[in-house]
Amino acid sequence: MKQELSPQQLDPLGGVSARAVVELSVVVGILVSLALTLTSLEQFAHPLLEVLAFVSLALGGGWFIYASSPFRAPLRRSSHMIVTGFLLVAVLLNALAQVGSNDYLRDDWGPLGMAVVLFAMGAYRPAREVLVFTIISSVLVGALAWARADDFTAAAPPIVFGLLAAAPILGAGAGSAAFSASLVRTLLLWRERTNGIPTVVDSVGDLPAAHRSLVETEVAPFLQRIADAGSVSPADSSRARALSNELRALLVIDSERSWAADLAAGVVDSGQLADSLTTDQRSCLRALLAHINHSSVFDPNTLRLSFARDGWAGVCVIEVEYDRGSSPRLQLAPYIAVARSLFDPVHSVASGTTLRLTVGFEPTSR
Amino acid sequence: MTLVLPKALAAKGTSIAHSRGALAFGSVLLAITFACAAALQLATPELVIWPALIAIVVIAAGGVVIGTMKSGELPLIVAVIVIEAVGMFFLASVVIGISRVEASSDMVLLSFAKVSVVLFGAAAGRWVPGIPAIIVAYLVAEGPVVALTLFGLGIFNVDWPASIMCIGLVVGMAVLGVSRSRARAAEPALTRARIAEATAAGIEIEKSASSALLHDTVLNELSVLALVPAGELAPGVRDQIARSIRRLGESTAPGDTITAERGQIAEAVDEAQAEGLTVLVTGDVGLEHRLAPASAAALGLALRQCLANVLAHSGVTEAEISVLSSGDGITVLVIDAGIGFVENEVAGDRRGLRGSVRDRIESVGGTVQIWTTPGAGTSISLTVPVA
Repeated sequence: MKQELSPQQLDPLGGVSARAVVELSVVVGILVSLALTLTSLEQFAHPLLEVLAFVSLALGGGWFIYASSPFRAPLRRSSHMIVTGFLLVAVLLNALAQVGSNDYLRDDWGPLGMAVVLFAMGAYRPAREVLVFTIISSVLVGALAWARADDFTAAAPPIVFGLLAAAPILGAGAGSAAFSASLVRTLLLWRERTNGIPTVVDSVGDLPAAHRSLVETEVAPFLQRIADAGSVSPADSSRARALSNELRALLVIDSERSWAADLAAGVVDSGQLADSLTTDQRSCLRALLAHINHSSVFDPNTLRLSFARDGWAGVCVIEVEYDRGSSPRLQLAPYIAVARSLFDPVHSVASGTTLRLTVGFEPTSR
Repeated sequence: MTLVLPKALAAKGTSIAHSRGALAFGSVLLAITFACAAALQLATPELVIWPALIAIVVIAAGGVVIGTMKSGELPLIVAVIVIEAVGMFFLASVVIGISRVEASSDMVLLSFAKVSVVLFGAAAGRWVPGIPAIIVAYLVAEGPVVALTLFGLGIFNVDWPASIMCIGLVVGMAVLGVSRSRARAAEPALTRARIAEATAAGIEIEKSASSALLHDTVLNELSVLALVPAGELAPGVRDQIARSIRRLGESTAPGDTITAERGQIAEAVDEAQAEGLTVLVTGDVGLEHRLAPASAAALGLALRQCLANVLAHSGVTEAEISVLSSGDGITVLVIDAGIGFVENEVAGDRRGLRGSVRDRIESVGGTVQIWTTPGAGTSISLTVPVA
């Protein structure tokens, strides 16, 4: 999955934090627009177009909230285009609703509503893209106001109306782009600095290998006795054969034991696909499974993890029972947001009392 | 690298980004205000609008100071407050004074300037508490304009854009703070998981090395003991068992490497010859000294296993090894003219080639290549990077 230099893709939890601001922006944008409409009702010659303008504003804002969900992360350029498109249509309809009866530019809510809603886009999209969309939108909105200059009562050159109409969008867009660029710079710097530093690892301690105790308690003493004696009996040969077979079998078991076996009550991974996940993917699954194991909402005894192939791709399915009445998806939202930056696709379905989370990946050789 | 930005760094990084975003937003609005005022002056030369341009530049200067501040020095912040208040006062005086229609405190040019000052207040949130900074900035922006209306210059209207911007920023900051705490609750778990993953990877490497060593040592000796006739052991076999027990003890601690006074390659050849394999050595064995101890040990053990495989499975008792320099590494070729094999058909419980050769060489950053055909011999290339 190609990663863009956007704040959300470099720091998925940042996107989760910013979602509340998106919701707030959309609500404020709609409320401001509503207030401006109610205070200048006499200027609306075509109420139906005004209603449609509100519908378009709500659709744009609604899509932004929908697309910024941690369960749909990351927010793509296509969503940015859809949101901007709906908002531009809202600006156009708002202007058309006042054709021939628009006395003041300052109570046109279109550009203001658009600016308020798009203000949070910088938390999700790259600066350059935000800037390009902003300039295009500003030019269109400015041109629209310029074309209507004769309608306004204020005596000013047409360019002034164009500039004033474009100002909220241009300002909010520039701010949004600067926010995105600054955050991306911080995140890249942080990644660059932490990339060279190995993660502090606890002492490896005793190796949890199944073969180790056999070697220490049986094999080593046996070989030592043979070395000391300098000869073997028929019984020693049989014993050597038995120990050899047992040790070989344990070495195979150890080499094929999946890392995931310690994290879930039931693991199915006949193709050893768990070993083909990247370090970050494994870390993400570890954190998610650890949360499930320690959360009071989930029943860890029912946790099942299965890996399978789907053509060339690998698929991991996590299933777990949860308490009726709880919100399992909400509990896992930050982990899902991170997972969506590492796996493709990521699906979660909660039905009855079972949560089923499916993540796809490209198997890599370790 | 860790998976997610730590909470403290996220708060700081976001604060800086908010500051830059607010500064850019305010600057653009102020620039447009300037452009509009300039356009009005050009269109109506009879009006005296140009002092408004100076007032806008003064307000912008406050933003520049905030944008270039290196720390939140109180005298500097007080100076910015004064600059913005003076700028707003003069701007309001000019704009209200020249208005042809009924002048009010919420005229568009004034409104944009007030929003800019509020945004500069938000930008100062990088150095001082954000919410108080925004409220102070709002008062600084609105205060001079309201004062003028109190003296009868224009009428007072609530400036909705400036008020909404102020309330929106305050509520937005509060919401973001709560939302960040909730979202970042997963950060410690993700960091712990990253550490656990690194630990597990370390254990995996040690386990793999341990398995490979067991395969090379005690498993080989057990196989030999299972096959030798009862009675006295040949001196070579006895020595080999003693060596294996010693090697097992030497490698108990993770990270330890096995030392070889004569060099790992030479000792591997000696051992193979002691067990009955004739080995022809070509190339420069001394190249081994360019390797790090861990790499040399891995190469020596892998070579031992390759030679043991020739003796055990190839059906011939002769092998050739060639030691070559290969760019940034050294390569050891092990060649025999035996029965060959099909790598994919090697039984799952035969761990020699996989665990003792391939995993071991790859664990030190090297590569293994195998060319073999049933009936046509086997060539194995072990390449290990130099230190």
